[in-house]
Amino acid sequence: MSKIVFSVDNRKITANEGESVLQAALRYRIDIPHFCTHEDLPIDANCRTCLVEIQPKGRVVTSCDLKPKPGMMVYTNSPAVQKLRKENLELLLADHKKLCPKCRRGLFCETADLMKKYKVSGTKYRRADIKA
Amino acid sequence: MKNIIEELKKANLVGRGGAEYPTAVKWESVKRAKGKPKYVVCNASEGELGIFKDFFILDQFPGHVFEGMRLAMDYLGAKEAWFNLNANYYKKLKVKLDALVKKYGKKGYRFRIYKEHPSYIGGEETALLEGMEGHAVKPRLKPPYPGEKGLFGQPTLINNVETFYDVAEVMAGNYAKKRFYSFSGHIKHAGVFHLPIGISLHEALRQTDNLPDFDFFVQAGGSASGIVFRKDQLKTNKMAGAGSIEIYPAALKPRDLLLKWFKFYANESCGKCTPCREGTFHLYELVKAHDRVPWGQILEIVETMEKTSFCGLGRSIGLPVKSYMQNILKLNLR
Repeated sequence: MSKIVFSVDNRKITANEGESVLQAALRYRIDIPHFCTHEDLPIDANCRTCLVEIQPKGRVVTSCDLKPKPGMMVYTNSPAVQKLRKENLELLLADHKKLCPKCRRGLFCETADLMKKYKVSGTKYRRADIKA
Repeated sequence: MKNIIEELKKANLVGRGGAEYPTAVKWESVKRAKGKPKYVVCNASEGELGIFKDFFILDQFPGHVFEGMRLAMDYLGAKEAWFNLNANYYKKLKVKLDALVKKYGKKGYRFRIYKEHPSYIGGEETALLEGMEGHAVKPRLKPPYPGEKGLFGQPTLINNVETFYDVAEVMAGNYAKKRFYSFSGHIKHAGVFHLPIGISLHEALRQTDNLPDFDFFVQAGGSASGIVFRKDQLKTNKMAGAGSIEIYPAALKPRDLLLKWFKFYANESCGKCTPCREGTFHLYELVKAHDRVPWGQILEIVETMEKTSFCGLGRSIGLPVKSYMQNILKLNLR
């Protein structure tokens, strides 16, 4: 088993073989918001919210399909990441505040916590009206 | 027998789907990949607006395309080749193509035609593989690339119709460093023309007698995802990418043009990833709801799509919108 040492937000972390940056970071309790990644499902990379920035190139990519390399420097909260992540969260969670009371869990769920943490209004965009 | 890779390298042949990846490098990488059987796929999806050269080639020179694919099959030792063919094209080309499939079938080359529901995403190389395998037409996570694990998990060579045409020409010694360009829009002679590679936009319009006498601007490289140029930029910019040019009158309202682009994107987005699925919808709704185009809000979504979309199609939306703002409207991009 080869392990890979790289850094997330200037903190050294060690990834096991085959792990993605997101999986390794979550093991170290570094919070990266993610919706489509689930331990029981294959990686699909469709929600585009687990964004991180790789330095020094400054490329913003999703961390769920990012394989760590030795010495790689990853940042989870750079200005570029914040802006793009917020826009994607707003798009994904459009009208979520309005629909919240209809849900059995009301405001007490991970999504509501996440919206609070990342200051997602849920009102920037309207959801598409789906005609039955 | 000539060494096909040497010949392709000598001719400097690159893919004609738009990405311009060196053909010889692609072929070699599929040859190197482990696994049998290998497949050859011809991408004849052509879902972009304003591009119709692949239809022209399949209509006029179907023999060349089959010959190019046969050469690829011989080189790779593949027994089977597939067409990812736009279903509308198949209706028109049925007689010609079916006859050729039969002809090559007798020689032991198995050709199969997959009739693809016409779509923009269907031209993305991993999405078309999904379609042919019978799944929803959505792009796959890369790597692995189709060269290693493509159709049914086997090494697969995917090339555009025109690339296979060029391969046949190169091996027959007829390759004249020309390619096919689609001309459309407010134009005197719309259609497909065979012109030298790397020709400037101005020269291409002049040689085909298509320079308009009114004030205009152009979009080159696809009428949805291509770059927009002013009249005075035509001489310094070349025909590149997917090889198309569309002419718009200068009096065209920005709102109408944006509606055309965004309607296309909103209809064609496959729905896999958030920025493209939600973004294209909101772009169209935004422009539709406002009489004055809300550029700030549009840029926010466009930039997000450009940087975080899953595949190249969602990422391509920045090109037309930003180049239009910069070159034609001379707006500041913040």
